[in-house]
Amino acid sequence: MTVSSQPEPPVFAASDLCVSYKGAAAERLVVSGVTFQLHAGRILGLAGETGCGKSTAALASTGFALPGMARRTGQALLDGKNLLAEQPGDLRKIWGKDIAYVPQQPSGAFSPVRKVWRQLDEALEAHVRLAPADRLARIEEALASVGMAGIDAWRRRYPFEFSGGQLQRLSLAAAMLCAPRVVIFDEPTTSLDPTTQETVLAQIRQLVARGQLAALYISHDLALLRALCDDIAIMYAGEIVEYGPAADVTTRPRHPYSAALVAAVPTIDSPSIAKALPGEPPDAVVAAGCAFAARCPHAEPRCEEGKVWLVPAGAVQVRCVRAGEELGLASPAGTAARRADAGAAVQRDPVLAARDIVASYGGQEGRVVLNGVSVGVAADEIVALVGESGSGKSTLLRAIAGLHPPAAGELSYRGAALPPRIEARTADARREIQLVFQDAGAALNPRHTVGRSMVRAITCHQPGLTRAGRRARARELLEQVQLSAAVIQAYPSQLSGGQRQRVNLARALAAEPAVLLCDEVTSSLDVSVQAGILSLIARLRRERQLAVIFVTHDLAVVRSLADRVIVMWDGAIIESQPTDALFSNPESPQTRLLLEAASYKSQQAFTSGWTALDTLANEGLPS
Amino acid sequence: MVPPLLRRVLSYREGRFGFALLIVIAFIVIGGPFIAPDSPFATTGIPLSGPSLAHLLGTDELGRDVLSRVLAGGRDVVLLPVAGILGAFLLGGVTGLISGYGGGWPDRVYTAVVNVALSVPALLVVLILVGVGKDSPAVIVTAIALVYAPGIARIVRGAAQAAGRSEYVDVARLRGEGVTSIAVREVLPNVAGTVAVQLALSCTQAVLLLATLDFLGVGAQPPSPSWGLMIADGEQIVVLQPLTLVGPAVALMLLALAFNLLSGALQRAVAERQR
Repeated sequence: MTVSSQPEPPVFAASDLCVSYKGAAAERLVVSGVTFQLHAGRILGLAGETGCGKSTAALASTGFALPGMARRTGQALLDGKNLLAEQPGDLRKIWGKDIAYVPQQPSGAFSPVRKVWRQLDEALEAHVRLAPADRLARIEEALASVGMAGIDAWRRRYPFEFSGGQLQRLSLAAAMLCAPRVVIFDEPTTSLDPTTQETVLAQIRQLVARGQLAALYISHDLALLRALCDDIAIMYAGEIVEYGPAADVTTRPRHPYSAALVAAVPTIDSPSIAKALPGEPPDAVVAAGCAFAARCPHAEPRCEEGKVWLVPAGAVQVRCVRAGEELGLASPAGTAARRADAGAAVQRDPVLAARDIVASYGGQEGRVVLNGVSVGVAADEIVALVGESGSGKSTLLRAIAGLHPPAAGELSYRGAALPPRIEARTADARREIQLVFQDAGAALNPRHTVGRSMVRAITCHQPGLTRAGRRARARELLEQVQLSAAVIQAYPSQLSGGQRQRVNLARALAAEPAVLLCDEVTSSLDVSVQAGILSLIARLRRERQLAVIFVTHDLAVVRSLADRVIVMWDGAIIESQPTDALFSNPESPQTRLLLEAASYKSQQAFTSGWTALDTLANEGLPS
Repeated sequence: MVPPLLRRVLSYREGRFGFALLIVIAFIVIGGPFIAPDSPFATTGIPLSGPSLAHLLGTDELGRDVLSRVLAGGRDVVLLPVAGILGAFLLGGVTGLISGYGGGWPDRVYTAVVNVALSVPALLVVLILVGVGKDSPAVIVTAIALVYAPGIARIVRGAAQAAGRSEYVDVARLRGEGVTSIAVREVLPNVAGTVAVQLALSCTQAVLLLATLDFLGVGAQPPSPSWGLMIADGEQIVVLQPLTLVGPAVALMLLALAFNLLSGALQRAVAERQR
């Protein structure tokens, strides 16, 4: 780790970047006064909730004209050349060669109908004059640098014939082909499963160090940025609100927004639920006063007066009128979620149990995804189900819910047998066992308003209510998940991801369930929203003695929420322990692997710099 | 309360124009025979005279007023295809919706039947049906319904199958809703856009198909003022009185244009709604 207080001149410098979009009535300013520098061999992390203008600022700084953009001002200097003043033809020579971009969805970076290597070759041919054989050698070299050397028959393969992790590494290789000097990573690991995510991150870190790249890494995951980056800039409502060395920003945040983001990150070191940040960020730059004041616990009347500027405070720059004061921001205090006796491994009678479940896809000779799995959950207990993608976690939940009848095995609920098919279950069993899906958008009918979805669920589960009673109940349930009655009229497409997931939860609660099955309900959400949903689940379990089975791949979430952890591997359960016991004393090698993979994000790993990631890059994860 | 899809259609220029045109045509269809200056069958002027104040579009070879015939002939030309297409939607749309959502072997059988039906030439079927049943309106409506049902069935089935596999359908199953309830409440609103586009497109095709039948002489028989028949008759005297051909041809074109503009606007509205 290069620790230098006086870094060399930056490779790339953006200053006073402003971007506005065409609006219905007037232009909407979405990025304002964004200034940052990228240095060789260093990574700048750009953090903030969804919709804060991170990607817009990063893309605009390369001279890229975003669709719907009305105006762009400022400067972006690369080798003394202002990219914002260049002609499109000249920019095309710079993009892909001097500046590379790695997108969030690797599947979107490759055309699905052409072989991957042809596309890599084409990218190289556009920028570098090389004989075909030399190009092939260069591509193979780039593949080797991302750990993709010697993949079987890779030259014959189309994008869909690679896994998500492989594709993301291919898109890394594509970015590295022309030996760029600046690389922009736009959340390249968010869609990957955790173990793959860790290896890709380790690779990014090595590429940056080896190639002396100046890198910008966009993410909403502060724990990840803390482990990966040298510097971090936090964006809110289109402006940078805090900018400084990663260690300072994440351990001693000066801006209340940074502090709230840090507090919302769950960590595997602490058994408490992270603190939620209620509310939503504004969708445009706020002209007068502090944009964050409306959500800020430390707001004062003067926060609303006049423009707030970015000022130096210690090692960082902060946009806060109270920057000089001691606000006590550094101590994130979470709430304990687990039962007091959780560690004591009390064996209670399960309210819901599945025994020796075997399930497969594609009929009799299909692929077996569950191979004799038994789980149980008691009232007032949260059981976490963890494991890599494809280990059968979601299928198990669907089998329990009655959507995927198992080929063998039995289910029981409150001591009686539970029919495998949902259609065969009693109304009570249907009502009391509720499933909340991972993709909140897909689980809501796009043609139904929130109100209609809610009222329909209430009608099915509480048939006795009058029309007015159902509406009142819908409002009450939405209030319980901290949604205002205004969303009743909205269609799902008009809501944010966090709001949609809260609607789903509210709809599940309409049934007054005894068992809640949660399938990665927070994995696609911002940490600030995730913390809110987790504490809601913890509260419901306390208040209603709810039994919860919680599927996740985030071990930090497990640590803060679950009483007991079940580890799945390849369709079977390999370990089941109380949470603390599992974290302190994992029994199986696979569990140790999962814990190791997650540890790079922990507080302890950070204090030792990049060691966790470096170890990973050097040794790799055994598969 | 205007449905959101229609409001969106009306926000496009082609949608507004198509809609306005359709309203004008609907007015002619309903009121045409009453506002027509003369009877469509009566000889009221000198045969083959050009436009005049008494006969705005002139007269045909029998001295009948062309404008009156165009106005009177609209009813069958519009109503029969639209009724036929609605029949096709009842037949193909409802079965397609249920089959697509239900899936399984009945769906495979259904798809096979639809594919066979699609491979039969449409014009042939209509010619045979109309030839056997003469030109009664019921036969023509039935023929159009039968010819267009398979195409509509296939489109609705595909859309229903896609919507039926979504998680909101799983959610509905979890709260204990039955097949019909899910098909109507959850799946139908999600295929309605596709259906509307197809409806407008099929109407154009059916209008033109019917005009073709009349033109070929197997549909409406003289002295009916059907547009297709008028075009066939006008063709022979086009040099002497071009308006006998141009009048009904322009009317037919405007009708097809109205449906086409609407289907275009609907298609755009559905695509934008899905984003």
